[in-house]
This record gives sequence, C-alpha cells and structure tokens, in this order.
Amino acid sequence: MTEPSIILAAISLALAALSVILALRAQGGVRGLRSQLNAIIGVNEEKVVRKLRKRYVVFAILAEKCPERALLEEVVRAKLSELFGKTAGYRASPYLIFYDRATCLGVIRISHLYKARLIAALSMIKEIGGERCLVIPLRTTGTLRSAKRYMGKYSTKGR
Amino acid sequence: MFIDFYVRKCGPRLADVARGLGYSALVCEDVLGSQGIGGISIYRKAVLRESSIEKLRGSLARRADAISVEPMGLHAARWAVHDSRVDALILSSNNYEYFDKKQFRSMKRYGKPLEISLGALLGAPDTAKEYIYRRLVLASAMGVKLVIGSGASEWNELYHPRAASILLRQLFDIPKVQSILGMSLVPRSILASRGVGP
Repeated sequence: MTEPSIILAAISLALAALSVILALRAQGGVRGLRSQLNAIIGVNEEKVVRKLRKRYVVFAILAEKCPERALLEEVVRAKLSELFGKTAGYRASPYLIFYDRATCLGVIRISHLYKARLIAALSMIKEIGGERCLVIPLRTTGTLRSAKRYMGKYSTKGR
Repeated sequence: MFIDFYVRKCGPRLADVARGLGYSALVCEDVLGSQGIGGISIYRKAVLRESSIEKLRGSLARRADAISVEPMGLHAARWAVHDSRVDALILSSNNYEYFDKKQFRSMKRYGKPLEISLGALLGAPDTAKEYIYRRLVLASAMGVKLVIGSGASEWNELYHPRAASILLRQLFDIPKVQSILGMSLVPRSILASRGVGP
C-alpha cells in the first residue's frame, strides 16, 4: 500500500468514528438509539419491575420487661404506617422473623427499599404496652444467617 | 464520640443508657447528681427563652458550659446571632417564624449553629412540622451548621446516633453527614471554644 492511500484510509476511519459518535449523541446515547431501534422493530419496552430484595434488621430492646412478640410486631407495623403512610406499611412488608424474649434481641425482615424507614420507625418507638422502652437497631444484613450470627456474637459479648 | 447537645434532665440511669448508645458526653439543662455520672462526661447548659433584647442581655450573665437561646421574638433572634456568649440558636415549633433567609445568612456569617431538639421536633403539631421542614431544608442548603440534641428527660427518650441520622434524613431531608456532624464535631467544637470538652 502506498503512503497516500494509508493516510486516506486513516482519515476515512477517523471520519467514520466521528460520525458514529455524533449520531449517538444526537440520538441520546446508546440507550436512545436502542429504544428507537426497538420502536422500529416493534419490541415492547415497558419498564421492568425489579425483584424486591430482602434485608434483615437486627435490633435490641432496652426495657424493664421485654414485650411479647405479637405486641411488638403490631407496634412496629403501626409506627411504620403512622410515619410513612398505609402504602409504605404494606409495601415494606415488615415481618418479625426471629425474636428472643430472654435476651430482647430480634430480627425484622423488610423490603430493601424500606430499610431506612424501618430504622427510623424503630427509633421512634418509646413505649410498648404501657412499658417504657428503647428499640436500638444494631445491624442490617442481607441474609437471615448472617443476622443470626451477629445476634449470637452480640449476646455473647454482653451489653 | 457522640455528644447529645441537649438533655433536659440528666440522671444516672439516663447517663448509663447514653453511654451504651455510644455517647461520650451529655450537655444537660438539669443535672441530678454529680458530674461524670456513669463514666460519661456531663456539661451544664443554659437554655434562654426570651423575646426582648434587654431580658436576653440580662439572662446571658448566667454561667454554663454551653448557652443556647430559643428566641421568642424577632429582635431577640437577630441580636442573639451577634453575641459571642450564645453558642447556638434553637429552632422549635414556638419560634420558627423568626428564622428566615436573613436570619440564616447572619448565622452563617457569624458561625452560629442551628440547634434542634429531636423530641420537640417530632412531637410538634403537623402544621408546625411543615414550617420547620422548610426552614431546615433552607438552613441546610445555605450551609448553616446544625447541632442536634434529643431533649430527653427520661432514658427512653434518647436516640441511637445512627438511627437519629437516618430519622432526620427520612423525615426532614437532612443529609446524613450533616446530622452525624451535628452530633459529633459541631458540639465538640462548641465545648472546646468554651474551654471544656470530652
């Protein structure tokens, strides 16, 4: 290949790359281009609802007498609904999955989108069944196994 | 590490629970017992609630490790920012109308932090919370320092520091970093400027 032809090939390659970049920018990037292509082909691009992940919040209760499981669960749900509305109450799906009345430690399972709201609601609980108490969120984990492991370590260390 | 900048009544039980929650110091309006209860540092605080400049000037002669003013009048709010004896200005449901852009601009210029009491804030009526929320967002946007206290009289009215920062983020859109600083660095620097500190 002669030198002028190499230079010509390099220039045309650069121009081709530049035109691709400009086209992508004009169409709103790769995503914009893909959605336009999908519209032409006829692919349904409805937003996919992602799977709800679970989070396990380990908590401790400071009280003269640890409350009963059913009462505690009711109070947590009520507080969540009171602060963030009934919609948040059922969307969060809080569930007292594990509770040890002897050590006042427990684990609540919640949707990952509502973890922070649950922690806020737990810190607002100041009495359960007429008894003064303090609910302390200790750790958030992704699996029940690691939550139970943390509970074991926490109760062994002592408070 | 954490300091609760406003506790109404400090007692041994409350101090013990606070130490368990991670607080290294409490700044108390009313101390029941001696200083250093339960292995936690206790500092005395004076909270002044005045509506006029003359009464405020008279009250500022009081000695304490920290002095907070809850202005109950516009002139008192404006004047308290300029006085070096005042450590923080309290925003509550009784005086939110005196905290406007001009007030926050002065507080930013003179480095006066805005104090909020979690108990008073969360117990405020919903209509007041609406006004308080807008003012907190404005203060945060203008870069006014925040200092946070629980306003606790009993041990169960305390808040876990991490939970408190999440609570403020969820309910009042206060950035987590700002609320953590309001429970650690800001109260520490206030006490250090007075020559005391944990």
